[in-house]
Amino acid sequence: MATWLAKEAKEMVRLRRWVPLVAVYLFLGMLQPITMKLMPVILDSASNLPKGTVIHIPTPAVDQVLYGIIGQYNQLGILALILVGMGMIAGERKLVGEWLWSKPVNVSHYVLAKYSVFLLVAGSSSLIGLGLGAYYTAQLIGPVNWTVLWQGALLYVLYQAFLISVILLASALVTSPSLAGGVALIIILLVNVLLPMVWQGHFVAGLLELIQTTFSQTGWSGYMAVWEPIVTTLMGTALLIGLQIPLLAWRRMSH
Amino acid sequence: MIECKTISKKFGAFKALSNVSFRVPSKTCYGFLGQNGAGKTTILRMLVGLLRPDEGEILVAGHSLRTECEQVKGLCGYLPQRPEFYPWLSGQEFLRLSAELVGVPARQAKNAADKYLSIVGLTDFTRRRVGKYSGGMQQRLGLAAALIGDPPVLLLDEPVSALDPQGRDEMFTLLKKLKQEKTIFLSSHILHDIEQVCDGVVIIHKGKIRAHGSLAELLKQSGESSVGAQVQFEVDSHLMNRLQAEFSRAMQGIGIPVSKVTWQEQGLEHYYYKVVNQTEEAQSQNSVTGQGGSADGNMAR
Repeated sequence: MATWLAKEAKEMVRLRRWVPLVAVYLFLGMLQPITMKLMPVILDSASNLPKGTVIHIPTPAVDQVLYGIIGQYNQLGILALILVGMGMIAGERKLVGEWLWSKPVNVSHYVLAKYSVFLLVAGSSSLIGLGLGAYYTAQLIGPVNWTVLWQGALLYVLYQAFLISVILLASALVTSPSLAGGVALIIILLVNVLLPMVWQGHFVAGLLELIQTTFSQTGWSGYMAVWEPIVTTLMGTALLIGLQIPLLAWRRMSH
Repeated sequence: MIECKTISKKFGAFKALSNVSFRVPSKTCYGFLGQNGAGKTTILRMLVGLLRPDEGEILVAGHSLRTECEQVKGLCGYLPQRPEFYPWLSGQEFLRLSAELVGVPARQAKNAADKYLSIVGLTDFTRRRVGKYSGGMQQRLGLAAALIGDPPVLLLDEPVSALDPQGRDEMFTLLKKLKQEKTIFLSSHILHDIEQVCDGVVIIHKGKIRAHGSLAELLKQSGESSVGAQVQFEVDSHLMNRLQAEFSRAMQGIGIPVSKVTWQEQGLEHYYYKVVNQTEEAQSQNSVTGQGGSADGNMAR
């Protein structure tokens, strides 16, 4: 396992895969409180309203700003994750598959090392981004409850853990990195858009609601226990990682 | 050591292999001959568990690939036809990874990497990224990756195809040494290469084995056991006719009819080695006298 962890860490650094993750999450985290605070000024200067028009937008609440960051993460952040992760297995199989699979490779170590390094970089980036966002929110909008912030942030890292397991599964499923990216995007869109419609308050849809509830400090309004979305997301993540192991073990034979 | 029993493989409607059976004895070097598309790479890939036969059984050192695939992988060092490795790792880092994958402890992996880089002549390029290696250097690195961990079986798919003449000679010298202690199965199109280093051959044509066994036995069976003589010397062209007459007369005198005398002009190979040897001699003289000068410069002169 240590062999693969070292190799994955080198790959993450030398191919500069960490750069889009850090850049996107930090940028989005910082930008959200600034744009929300300055929204009236931005609208005033950008729109072509008649002279004397008064734009009155109430200063957003702290929890709205913080959850706004999560909203941004769920768009550009997911795209950055897909961009970085789509070739992690598919690209490697294409490039060095012939050499790699002729060795007695422990597939579970191989998958877990990729997953761990990817989650470490993506999770740290989103935590730092949320920390920066909370700092600017505290400076520009109002006091932030840091305990609540870190609770919500850790829940978001759990959501990222699920997203990464989807992306790596897609990358293990097909041999073309771009196709893997497409497959991952479709699965994530289905989970993010369709799932809340049919299964509100559960699994990852419930987890996103839980993050919102945590930031607003209103208490969990779902009819299931708080731990249900956490446990089901953890189980879903573990299942998707677990699926990659027999899938890759089978695919290396027919490489 | 390597045994294929009635192997068959289809890719869609195309029958790539049909009832392939052969055996490569332990601690020998066998050549795998056949035209492009004959099925050589398919069999080599099966031997390292990259492909599964539709029918038949493969045994490596007594282990069945069907049931003990991972053990077999640990016993085989494989050099693919077009070796491609992580371009962002240095040669040394790549070999360390290869070593650790085949069970060399992490502490010893660096020493093992250095040792095998030295064996394949890449000592000066240990820290260079693999992406900046030439095709020949990648092939040498691939051989080092196959050798690392000291596997008893080596499976080499056209191991000299990207090497320069000197590199090929070095590779064959190394293989001759290795076959004392390992079972080597290598594919090549070049008969001369196979003849140089192999004890036996397996000949495949259109997915079927046409011949297999020790080289001496196969040649004997086919009536190729008489020895042809090749004598090489340099002579001025105006002496050719006189020399041929004298030579034929002398051979007839001892009762050997001369079937053919071929005069061959010294070719590129001879010229190349002459230039390279001159360059190396000049370099060694320069290093003794402390003068500089590159190989290219000497060749140009």
